[in-house]
Amino acid sequence: MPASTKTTSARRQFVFVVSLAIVLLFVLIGILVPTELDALTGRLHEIVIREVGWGYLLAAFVFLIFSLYMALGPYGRLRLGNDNEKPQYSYFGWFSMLFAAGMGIGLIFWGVAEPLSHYLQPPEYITPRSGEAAGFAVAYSFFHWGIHPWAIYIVMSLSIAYFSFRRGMPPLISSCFYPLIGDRIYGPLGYAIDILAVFATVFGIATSLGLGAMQITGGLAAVFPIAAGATTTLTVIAVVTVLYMISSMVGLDKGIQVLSRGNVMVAVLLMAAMLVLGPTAYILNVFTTTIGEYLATLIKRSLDVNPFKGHEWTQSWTLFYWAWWISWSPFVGLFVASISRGRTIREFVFGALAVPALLTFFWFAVFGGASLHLELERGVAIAERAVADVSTALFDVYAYYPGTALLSAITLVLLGVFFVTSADSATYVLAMMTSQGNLTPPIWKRITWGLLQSSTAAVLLLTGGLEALQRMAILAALPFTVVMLLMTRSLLRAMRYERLYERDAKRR
Amino acid sequence: MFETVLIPLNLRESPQLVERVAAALAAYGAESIILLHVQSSPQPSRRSAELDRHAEELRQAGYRCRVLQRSGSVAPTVVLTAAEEGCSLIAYPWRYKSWIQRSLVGSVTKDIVRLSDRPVFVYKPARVQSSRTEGDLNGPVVMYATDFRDTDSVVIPYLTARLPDTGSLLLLHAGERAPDPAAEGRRLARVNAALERLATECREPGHTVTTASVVGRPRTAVVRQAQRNRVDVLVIGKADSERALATVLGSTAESIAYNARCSVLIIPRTATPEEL
Repeated sequence: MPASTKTTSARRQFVFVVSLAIVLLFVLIGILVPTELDALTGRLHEIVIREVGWGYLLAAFVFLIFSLYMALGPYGRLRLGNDNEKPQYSYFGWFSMLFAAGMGIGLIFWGVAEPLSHYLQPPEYITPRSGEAAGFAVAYSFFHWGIHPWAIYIVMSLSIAYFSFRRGMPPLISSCFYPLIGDRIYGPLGYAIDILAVFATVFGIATSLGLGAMQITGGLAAVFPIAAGATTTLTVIAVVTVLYMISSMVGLDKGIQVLSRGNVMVAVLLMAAMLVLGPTAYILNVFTTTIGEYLATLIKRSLDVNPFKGHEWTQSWTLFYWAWWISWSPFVGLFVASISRGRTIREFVFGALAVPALLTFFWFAVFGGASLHLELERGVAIAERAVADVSTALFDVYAYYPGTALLSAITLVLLGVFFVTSADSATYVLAMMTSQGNLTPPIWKRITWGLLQSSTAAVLLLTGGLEALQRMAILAALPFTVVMLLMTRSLLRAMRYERLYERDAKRR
Repeated sequence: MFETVLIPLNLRESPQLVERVAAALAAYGAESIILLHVQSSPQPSRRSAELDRHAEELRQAGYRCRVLQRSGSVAPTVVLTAAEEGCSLIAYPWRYKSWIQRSLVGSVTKDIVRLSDRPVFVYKPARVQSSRTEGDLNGPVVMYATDFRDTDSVVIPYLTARLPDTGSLLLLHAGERAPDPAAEGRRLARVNAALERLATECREPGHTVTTASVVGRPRTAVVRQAQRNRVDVLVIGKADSERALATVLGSTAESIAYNARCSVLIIPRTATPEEL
């Protein structure tokens, strides 16, 4: 083999090899010294949230304004692809995949547990278990899962989609920096950005899968006479791994799309069922009131670090979430970019901001409203149990409504499929990121990343290093916030160039 | 030629500095000099003797010179007087101000550049330049930073006819990188072709004309290139921007005029070389 070909091949595998080595090293540390890793990441996480948590809040607000400017400003009509290109997926297919990748499993996990947790443990200036606490609980659940996470994802996915589909560059995060650093994107700086993205994605998805597996186990134990132990959790992970590897082999069009479409339909059906079986008017009252409060307080809450009262609560919830969404953004951003070819920026931004957020609001109103109704109106003390074991909170609520077994079974299916779609899309994105942005990455890389993220989740669930891993993913949010802020600058510069020198030239 | 040149003085300048400004202007064909002092108070100035002394020294050095005194806000008065007296150029020595001074009292240099519709020459002594000295053996180096906009048509006559003693002329384009490598290749090809076209227009017997293009924000890249190429006089065009950000931060021309470490000639788009 000629030397130059060897060099090219080595460069091509550089991000893959280095990322793999770093991930394996940290997983090994998590296995060998989980307590020390937990203490170290806990300390680092605390310092970051305490010292620069305000930065996350400001950055997320900047991303929201940026997204709206992109949709409403002079670049809204630009297409993420050639000028005459049509969208690759239908609206429903696109929304389904957006939702499955961006929220999915987390929403089922926290749909009941988060409102109940805020209701039981609000900031110190609100009386726990009061009507005020209930209002606060649903309002902040809306806020944490509302349009901000999507604005964060939009910055990432819009940049990647623009530079790859409109400018013909590989769909990599480093490609978005060409206007700022030029050919250095092909050097250590570009590699560092892509490796950081792989790092955040692997650890983020591994923790999400670990938590998802725990919830499926909890659900299985609630429905079937099965012990919710480590063996069951490992079996769940093994089964789901086989399923998502199959889905991954089948490809994006048949695999993730079909599963996501089916899952969103099931999710909507489950919501509708809960709305009918639960306190319908109460839920709709919660939805309407909270939407109003959400809109009225959007700007205030977007920038509210609460330095004078409730600061610790804000740190442990809002700032944690914002860091989590940012650390999650390379994965979701790359995935959403890869399914958004052919859409205009305006429809992309409004579609990605409004539709998933509305679905999420309705989800929280239905499940949060139903669980708060139990607490406030029927005197069922469910909040303690929900906070004590977040993974079974949803199943606990079902026990007080008709059709418990059916609802639990549907939820288990939903969880399983969301698990599969999340892991499948993460596997695809990781293989793509480590194949120089190849949209059809080699099968062996998909298998490598798929097995690695599942085995990481399984092993760290057993050794107790999963939370440490989650904190490491969140720590990656700090450099990524800077990366994303620079990304907005780079994207604006590129679009301005196109408007000034290319579109005007075309018109002439 | 720049026939009549207005030199505003705050009378803290040394006679040597004033003479060096006059000498620099003479190289570009200045025939008559008006020394202007603007004071804030309408009372007769106690420093008119100093202004006369500067004028007298210039006359003794062989320059046609007269003096004027005005009162009012400095920058607008200078620009107004230049119009009243039919001056073809406003020239003045650059005065350093720290950022605190600039924040508190503003910069007259920047204000005159902003307000003037006539060419402005900001003279910077050789000591603020990197290592080059005036009257270098190879002749002065003039650099024109172009953005290929309509200011070129106004500036080129100055480069070809009004800077006759130019030892070498460097045509520089500083622009932002295109969004992708292919577009960047096309941009570079366009830039090089445009620079070559400009170079052809500027070529005169005895002049060396070279071209260069760099990537970066013009307001910083041009200053850096002027320093790197040891430029004596940096020529820039000025187009009044209506962009909100430029209104707040100041134009590229104002920024370059202040930050460059060599003398800067700013030619506004509204300047009419035919009439000068």
